[in-house]
Amino acid sequence: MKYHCVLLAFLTVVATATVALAQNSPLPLATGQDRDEEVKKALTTITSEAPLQEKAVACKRLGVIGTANVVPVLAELLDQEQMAHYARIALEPLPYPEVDQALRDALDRLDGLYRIGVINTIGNRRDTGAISSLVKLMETADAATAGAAAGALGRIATEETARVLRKALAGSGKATATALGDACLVCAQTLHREGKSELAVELLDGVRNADMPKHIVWAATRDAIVYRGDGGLPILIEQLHNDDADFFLLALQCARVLDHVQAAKTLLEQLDRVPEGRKSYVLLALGDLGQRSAVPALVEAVRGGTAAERLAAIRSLGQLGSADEVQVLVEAALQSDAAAAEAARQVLKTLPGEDVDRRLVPLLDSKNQQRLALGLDVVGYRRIHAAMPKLLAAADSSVEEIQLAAIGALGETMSLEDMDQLVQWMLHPRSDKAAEAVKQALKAASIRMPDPDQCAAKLAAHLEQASLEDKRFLMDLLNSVGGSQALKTVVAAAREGSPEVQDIATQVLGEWMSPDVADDLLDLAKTLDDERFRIRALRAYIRIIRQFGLPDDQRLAMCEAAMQVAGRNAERELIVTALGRIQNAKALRKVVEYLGDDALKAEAALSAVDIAEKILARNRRAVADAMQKVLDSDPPSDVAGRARRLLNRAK
Amino acid sequence: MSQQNRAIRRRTFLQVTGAALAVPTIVPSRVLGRDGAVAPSERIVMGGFGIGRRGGYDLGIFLEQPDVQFVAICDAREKRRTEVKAMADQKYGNHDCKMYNNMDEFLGRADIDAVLIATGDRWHTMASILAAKAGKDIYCEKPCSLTLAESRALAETIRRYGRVYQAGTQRRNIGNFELAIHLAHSGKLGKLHTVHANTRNPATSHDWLPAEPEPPKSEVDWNWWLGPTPWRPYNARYVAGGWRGHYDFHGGGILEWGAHTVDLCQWANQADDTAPVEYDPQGSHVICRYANGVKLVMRDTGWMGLGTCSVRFEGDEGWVETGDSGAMELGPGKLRSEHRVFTMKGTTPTNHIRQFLDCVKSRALTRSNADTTAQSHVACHAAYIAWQLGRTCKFDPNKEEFIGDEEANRMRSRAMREPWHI
Repeated sequence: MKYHCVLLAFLTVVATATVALAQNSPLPLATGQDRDEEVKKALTTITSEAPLQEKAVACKRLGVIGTANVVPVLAELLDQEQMAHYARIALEPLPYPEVDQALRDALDRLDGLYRIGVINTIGNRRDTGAISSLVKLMETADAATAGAAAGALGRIATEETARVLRKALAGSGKATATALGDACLVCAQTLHREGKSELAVELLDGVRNADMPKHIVWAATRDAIVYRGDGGLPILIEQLHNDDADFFLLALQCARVLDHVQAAKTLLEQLDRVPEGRKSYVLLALGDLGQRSAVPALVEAVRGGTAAERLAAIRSLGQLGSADEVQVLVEAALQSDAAAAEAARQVLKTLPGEDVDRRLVPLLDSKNQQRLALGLDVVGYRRIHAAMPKLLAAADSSVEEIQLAAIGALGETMSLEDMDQLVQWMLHPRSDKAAEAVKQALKAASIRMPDPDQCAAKLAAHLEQASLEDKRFLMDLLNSVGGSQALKTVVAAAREGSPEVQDIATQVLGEWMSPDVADDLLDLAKTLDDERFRIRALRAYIRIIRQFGLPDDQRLAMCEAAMQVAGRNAERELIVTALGRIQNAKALRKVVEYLGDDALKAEAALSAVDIAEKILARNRRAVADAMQKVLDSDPPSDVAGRARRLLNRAK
Repeated sequence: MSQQNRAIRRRTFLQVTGAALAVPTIVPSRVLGRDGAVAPSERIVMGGFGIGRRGGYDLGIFLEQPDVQFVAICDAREKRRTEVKAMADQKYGNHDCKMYNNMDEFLGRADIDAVLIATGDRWHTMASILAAKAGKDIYCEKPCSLTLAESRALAETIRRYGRVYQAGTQRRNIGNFELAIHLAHSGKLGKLHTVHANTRNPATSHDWLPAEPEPPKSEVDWNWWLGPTPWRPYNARYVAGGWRGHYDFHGGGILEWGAHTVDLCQWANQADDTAPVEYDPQGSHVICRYANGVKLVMRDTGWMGLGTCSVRFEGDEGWVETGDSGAMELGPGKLRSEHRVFTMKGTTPTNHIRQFLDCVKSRALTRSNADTTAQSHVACHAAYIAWQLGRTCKFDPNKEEFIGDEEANRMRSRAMREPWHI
């Protein structure tokens, strides 16, 4: 009796230790004697009456640290319900011949799913010693097992398995055609990767000629072309003319993988020979192949092709085109075919090169409104600064469409010196549409000004005279611009403006995009007269602690500073939550202090376990102390569970 | 470098030159009916697998596309099956959306061209692989794998079956992120030396929730819900989204956001076909280094408050930072002239979904294709492994092996529950 009690106590300790070690990552490093000890403990857990979860953890751990000694124990589990898979999890990564032998032996004594599991593991380990057993299973077992055996043979991928699988294609096995076909494809892929392409191609040709589902033949044809390299081009050409459109598309897919020079040459030769309706797809593929030799054919298709061919050719010119193709693209962008026109416009916006810019600027001299509008759109997008005088002239146009397009283009193009003009247009808009266009242009211009302080000063100079609505827009814009001048301007508005302006400014500061706003927010939280704005500033300050990657010590100091200012529990809770995001022992100690505060203890307990889970490995004593205090504070059950587990692990 | 990877690198450049180009939808004339509507025979027929809150958001955008016909939902949960059916039926004004609680029947439908996968993370790789093997194109929510080995298997399967695959890393098709990438690629930042990825707390747990009685299989099929992951007793909180944070179901906080942000850093560093060679865990951060000397900083605290999933790229002549708010900061001052106004939030996948559909038709490579996605996920998994081990790990991205670290290498894969395998 005494012996049993001692053993039970020992097993309980071992099981707990094993689970504790592996229950949460990171896993500790196991070396030398420690490793032997841990292996021993894991085996004890597995052979004990420990709960399944503990055995599962032990198996997973053995997969990482197990030695050859663990194989017999694990092999015994290969036919045990719920443990068989965990045993394979442990066995599969172990690089010992004892594992291979144990798995081969298991093939004879297992059946059903357990045997299939073992077959899968043998395949993953590429055990050549199991080939004969697998061949036998492929030829005689039920379809599921035979399929698994075929798959394993495919993954082992040797000359021998290639020969066996090729033979099975003639109908000698019990595996389904899909399983056998997949095994052949896998085998060929591995052989090709290992430099045995001839053997791979032979096997693939076997699949192509066998009675196989179409998608398997399709895949085999694809690989048969690709693995042959340039030698696969004749098969590729065959597929371009295949009545089945899927095989035609297969040819284009292969072209994208083969040598691009040869593939492009082949596609160009076949361009006018492919069946009707397929040319657009070939034109698309030519774009992907990146060969300028295709450009004349693309230009011809833009000018004289069907709608689909035009669209495809324009897209491909986006990949291959140069300044020489600007003219044809402009023509396409002005035609009545809306899809082609839009495609050409997009290509004109992004075709690289200053020589392209030079050919586009003259569009702004056009008397034709459609041509002029295209020019404004494209020149604006490309930010061609040399076109500024023409854009300013267009912005004075009496035609609204031209005026709005020019304003948009100016926003993308103008320099700091020209920005006053835009602000004046915003303050004194010619129409509602123009006002909106100017605001968009101002935003586009402001965010890209090289010196944010100079830009902010320009905007700030107009703040005083702006309406409340425009003030809001300008302050949002200052937030987007950022920098010290922008911040100073909005803080001043929050401090000294009318209540309406303070309302806007504190809202904008609450969304400020950089942490340099923090000191001002804390000061505003202390000094503003209106409580609403003080609370808003404090919450914005807490946001900075939470959302920005400031150093831990700085964030901790900010939490302490915020706590001194916070008068309400709502904000104090937010501060305790923010503390939970700081991953060090100092933050843990600080958060534990709030366990004694009835209003904050629930939030504090949660933050404490959040921190503890992250710092456990290097702060066991601090975590143990803190978790005991968390448990003493009577936290909610889920938090208590986490605290208890952490306490056990820390001890 | 393989032809496939060469294609990816070249394409990356080309896409950047057209960074702000809203690529027009290529709809060949044969696709359009006489009234401009898409002819039924030319629509992309789609099904959904595991559609919850995020998936429902994606689905809403798919349903808005004129060339999509959504016809089927497959889910382990009855509630979700009926909700998704109602959503599709309401859109089309019929009762045609079929519900499946059997994957083989769902994937066996020859009329389905593409699938939207938005299950929990544990199913993403397996479902994508099954769909690829059934000949379907795939839009799959992130993260796309739970292990390093799954990442590789995903990429190889998609390549083997020639499927069009788009990971739900939509920031690759959102203007402010595209511009940031363009600045890094174009040399306007000078020589790139550091890229920063906002991630989350890496920790996960091996705890189990208390066992509860399993609901009827027709209501929640627990065995199917678990799929390839290890068995554990049912608890309703798992299926209600509480699977997050559990090691068996979730790849931790580095992967959670790194699937987006590390992915963007990989792109910025023109490293879509590789991964960092060193991973140094520091607290909840991991500092990584690429073979070209560029440093990748994964950190779970923000910087300038530009929204979730922020990234920051630093070169010897300038820096850029942007995030989900669409806001962008640039320095020094002269670089501010590159700024543009962006209004699209980082969470909006509209452009990304449209690009996927265009590629389904043209068979071109998507921006978040399986190869680039696998690489960025490999980087996240390797970082998480180093973090779990608590030591610096060196990594060979070509072999996808840790150098001289047996324990780390063993953590690259997890055996799947029978009968599943990748």
